[in-house]
Amino acid sequence: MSIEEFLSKVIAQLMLSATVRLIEWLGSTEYAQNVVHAIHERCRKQGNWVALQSAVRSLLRVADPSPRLTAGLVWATGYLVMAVFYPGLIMARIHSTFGIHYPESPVTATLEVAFVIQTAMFLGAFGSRLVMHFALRGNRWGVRLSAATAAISFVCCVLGTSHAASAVHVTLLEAAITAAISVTAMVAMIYLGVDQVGRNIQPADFIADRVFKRWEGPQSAA
Amino acid sequence: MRHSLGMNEALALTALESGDALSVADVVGRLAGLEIGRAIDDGSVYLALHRMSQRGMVVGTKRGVLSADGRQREVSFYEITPEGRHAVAQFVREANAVSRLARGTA
Repeated sequence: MSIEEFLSKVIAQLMLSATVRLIEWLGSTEYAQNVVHAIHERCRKQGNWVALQSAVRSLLRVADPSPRLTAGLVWATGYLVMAVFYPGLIMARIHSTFGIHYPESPVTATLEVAFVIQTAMFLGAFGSRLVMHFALRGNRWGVRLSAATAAISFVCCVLGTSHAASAVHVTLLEAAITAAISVTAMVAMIYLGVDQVGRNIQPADFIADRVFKRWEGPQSAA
Repeated sequence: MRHSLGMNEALALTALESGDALSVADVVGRLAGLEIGRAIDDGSVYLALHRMSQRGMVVGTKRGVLSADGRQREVSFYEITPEGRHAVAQFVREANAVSRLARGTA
């Protein structure tokens, strides 16, 4: 085997492995199990490069996002929201750490409140993410515990808002507006997340059938 | 409700007409030698079979198989239903009509 052939084989193998991993990460379990099996069969019969071409096209066809992808999207959206708040917060923290007068303007004070809310929001998003995770696997205690995590984080969100509002002397109206924006963002994120995990699970059905009513087993994700 | 078949669906369904239960890999294997002038990837075959299983044209049964990479996977094996055979027959009728039109014999 020449060095070119060897390198070609190694590169194809590496790219194929990476593509297969991506399919496993991005596709639903059913899609990944069926398609990756087929890709490996193709690789065995037709070689790495042919399998790689099919794998890349199959990767582009991932139409049914996995819980991992959904979680990624939810968290990425959250971080995008956070990115808007962080610069102001960091500036305020620098002022405070180095003994510089803490600028208690309505803007920085609102940012402080937002920080607390955003932290609780992430816990809520994580809790709801776990709900989805366990729901798809039919683990009823997992669903209950995760729903409890989401609920506790919501309470923390309310208490944190109240605490932060009094600590930084913002008016109740300012705190309420910030809270409303953050909670709306949280609900939107959770809604989008739930909606994306399998077309069979809709938020209203999800809450009604799986949290408050008797558990009847998981629905198909694909 | 009757659905007309897409080309990938028709090909996958025809591959199942022998009556055997086939996985996505098996269907891809049967379509490999057809030389239809375009590549059919594994993902689109799976999606075609998945769509047809929702329409009742095929039924899938999950089985554990050992993939070529040595890992155990749970793969669906699909079988054609009477509804699926009906859909293939209709597709063939339509394809024949297109063929006759193209040859100018219709």
